[in-house]
Amino acid sequence: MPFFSLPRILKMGVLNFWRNIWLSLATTLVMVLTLLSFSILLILNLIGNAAVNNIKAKIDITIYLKSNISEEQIVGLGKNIKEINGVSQVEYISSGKALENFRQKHQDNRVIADILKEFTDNPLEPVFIVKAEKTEDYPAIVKTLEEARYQESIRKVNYKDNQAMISRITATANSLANVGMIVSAIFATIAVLVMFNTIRLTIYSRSQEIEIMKIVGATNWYVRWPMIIEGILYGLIAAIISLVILYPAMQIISPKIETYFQGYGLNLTQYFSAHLFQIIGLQVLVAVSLGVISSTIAIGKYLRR
Amino acid sequence: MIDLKNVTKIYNQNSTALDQVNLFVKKGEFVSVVGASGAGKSTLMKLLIAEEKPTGGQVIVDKWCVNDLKNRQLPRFRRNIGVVFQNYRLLPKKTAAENLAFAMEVSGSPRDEIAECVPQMLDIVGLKDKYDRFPIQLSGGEQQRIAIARALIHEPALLIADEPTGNLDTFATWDIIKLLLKINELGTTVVLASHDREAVNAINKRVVTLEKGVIIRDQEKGKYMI
Repeated sequence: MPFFSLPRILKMGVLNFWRNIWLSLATTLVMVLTLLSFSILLILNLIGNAAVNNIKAKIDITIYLKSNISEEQIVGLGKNIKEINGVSQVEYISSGKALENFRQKHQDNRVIADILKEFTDNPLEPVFIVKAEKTEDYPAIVKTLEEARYQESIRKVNYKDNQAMISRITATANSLANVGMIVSAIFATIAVLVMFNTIRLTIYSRSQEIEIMKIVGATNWYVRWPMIIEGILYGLIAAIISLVILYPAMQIISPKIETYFQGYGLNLTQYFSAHLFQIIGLQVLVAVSLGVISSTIAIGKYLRR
Repeated sequence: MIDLKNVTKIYNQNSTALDQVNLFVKKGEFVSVVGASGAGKSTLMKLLIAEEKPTGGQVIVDKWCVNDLKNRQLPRFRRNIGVVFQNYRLLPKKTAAENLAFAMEVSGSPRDEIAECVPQMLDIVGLKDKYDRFPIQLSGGEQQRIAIARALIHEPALLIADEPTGNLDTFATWDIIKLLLKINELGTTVVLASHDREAVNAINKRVVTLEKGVIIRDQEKGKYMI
């Protein structure tokens, strides 16, 4: 293809798009729906992940210390625990802090407030709260804490009670992730097939035109390239329309989702703003790729004759 | 210019379109190929533009052997021949000027050359003022004149016209025939397939008569006889 044909081919692609405007708009609309389906799936995945991560974050190991342990031993123990494989965070809560936290949590509860007044000494023990990098690491961390070298400082490790729940949550989270992926894959395949068929029908309706171009002496690439440009245009315009719909929709839906998932730390608007360029880039990449691949495959049939 | 040697075209066992046809056309000739519907005229035209390949024999057009033409050679081959069809085969979403320009663009002609040639060609066929009309806005005769202009834009040595007046009224038919004769006078070899008896007889040049895929008559100053 001679180099100076590129502006010509670009112009032809754009002109073809414009002069078959209704067909082009219909194809673009189908692509918009495809992109919106992908986006909705992404959002659902996000919400699902946030919910699961939030639950996982609530899991921890509580280590009750012996009453005769010195400050020095506490500091040393804290350092040792931090170095255990898989531990991400170790927080020491002194008796005083534990009591303060308890009072604040139940400040509206008169019964508990009255009970606390009956105690002259602080009934709460100092604890270490240990969080792991992954929920799967907890059993190994607990096993390490049960070793002899920790037993002079540690009175009790409270984890066994949560073990069943942790295992269930991990299994549920993994199943959800797998199901989510399968459902996404099915939807993606359906969307791509619908998109491909739409472009195929568009090109079929212009098959006579393709034949005429070949009779006049056009090479296959000279016929193919303007149609690929059209595919790119479908993708670009569809991505723009999809984003124009998504962002305002996100502004409206996000507060409602945050209210429903209160305390889960889920802020969709913030997520979208933080990943703005990635989202735009992904939409454009998916849309343009779909358009180009569909156009190339669909027109291939008419050029093989 | 054209040399057909023992050419046979069989579509299936019940359909032999051409049977051992031998035909030689000199440079600058005007040949009318006539015959009833189904005689093999269209098949002959398709072989000449390499839209079909012969089942047997050899087809040579302007030094190209159609039998051996590879797909990647087809575009270059077709740019050397002007072709006109019964249904005009103009690109419907391009204007008259753009249809002509497209024929030049496919061979990589530069913009200034196209800008010069297209108006000249439109003028030759008498449609300079309709350069911006789409085919649907033109009459049958006008569309066929645009098609002829497109066929000639590369100044081909050979023009093949497959029933160019099939869809036209008497007046438009004569306009097209006169145009074809004028083109032939300027040196282009013309092969015209037609079942229009009056037009062929009025041309009064070489007539090749086909019947059931066989040449039954070939006369220098022939007539279309039924």
